[in-house]
Amino acid sequence: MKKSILSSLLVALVSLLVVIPGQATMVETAQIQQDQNLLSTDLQSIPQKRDWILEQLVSGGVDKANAELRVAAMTDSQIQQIYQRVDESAAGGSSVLLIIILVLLFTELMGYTDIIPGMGPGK
Amino acid sequence: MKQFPEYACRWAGVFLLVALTGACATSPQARLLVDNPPDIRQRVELTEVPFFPQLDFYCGPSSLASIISYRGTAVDPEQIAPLIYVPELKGSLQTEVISATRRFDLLPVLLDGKLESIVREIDAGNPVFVLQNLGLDSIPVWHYEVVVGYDFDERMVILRSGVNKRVLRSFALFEKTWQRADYWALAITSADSIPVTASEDAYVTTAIDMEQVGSTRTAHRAYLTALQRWPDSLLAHIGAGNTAYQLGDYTAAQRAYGIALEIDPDKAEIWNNLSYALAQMDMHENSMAAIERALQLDPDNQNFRDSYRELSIWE
Repeated sequence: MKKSILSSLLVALVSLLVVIPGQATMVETAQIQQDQNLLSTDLQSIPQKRDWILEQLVSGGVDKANAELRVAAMTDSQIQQIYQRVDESAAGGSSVLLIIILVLLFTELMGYTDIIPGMGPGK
Repeated sequence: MKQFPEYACRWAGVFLLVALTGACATSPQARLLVDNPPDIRQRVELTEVPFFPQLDFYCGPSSLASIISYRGTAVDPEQIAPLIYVPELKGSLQTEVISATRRFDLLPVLLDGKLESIVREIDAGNPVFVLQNLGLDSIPVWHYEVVVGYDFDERMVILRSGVNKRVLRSFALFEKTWQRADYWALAITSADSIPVTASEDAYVTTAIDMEQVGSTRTAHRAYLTALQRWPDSLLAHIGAGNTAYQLGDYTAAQRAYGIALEIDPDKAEIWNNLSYALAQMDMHENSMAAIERALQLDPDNQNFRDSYRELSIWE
């Protein structure tokens, strides 16, 4: 717990260092787009949200260095989108396979689903 | 345990026939597509799209590697996985697929959720990266696939999927499983082209995102590409100007801002940015005139005030 607080502090510090832009008074294209769309993006909370997503990735088994690169590769609007959906929108597999097969055998009959080769683990 | 999916597949093979019969009633897009086919070829298969059989839960990395390789950068799923895979989720997030694509200087352009758009993209030579929910809304089984072909005679799409290089699925069934994934689809192209069905907003936003993550050169190319199709796109002109400025081409920046101001003379931000381009070109008086215009339009803007101060003492 203490360690994670420490590490998010560290990350916050690092992102503070990184955020200082070269042209403080040029208006970025993304900023103009946001103004145009009248999106009330809470820009101040973005660094905190980045930290939170970083923590989620790390606790999801991604190694720290990779997770940092991955979070850095996201735009502000991606950060907003992902923030609330991090464990809803994963694709690739599921941990409740046994329940699924029972439901699917039924729904295949009803024509609602399509289970195709290779969706699960293994070859 | 590793036998499990094959078990599921075998049953699926049997039941697929049943599934197909009642499918059309609840697949409005598929029906529309068959009744009113767009003016494209009857059958297309992009056979040259590479195939990487999925290992474990790597459907995201496999599918992405497939399209990125098709676009000319040799990668395999093992190189993609560290960019998008989340071990605990046994999967990859859509948004990370998007940011990983950008790292290869390719544009991940969101399509509009129409089945017709997918086949149009295929006809234009663009494989489409899709998310499918092969389960149910309540018990989702997420799966990434690549659409590489279609056949109007058979009413089928052709997919690179999981461990299968070539999967055929009816338009109707594809629509259902795609609908359960909110019709999420990406066309992935270089900055020199635009997916045929992409909206101005989707494409320009992709370029803006590219700029935001620091791929300035690619973003600049994408803005110029966008302007060929949408010459009146205000944001594309502004983006072209901003990226030109960042690349040190102040003349090009000035020109782009000039066109943007013809479209919207009251956009104060453009006057602000123009003032910097002019300052860089040692046109001090014009630069001050531009920033004064910005302040006239929006006197309380702190950014413009800072600009004014900075430009007043510009060396």
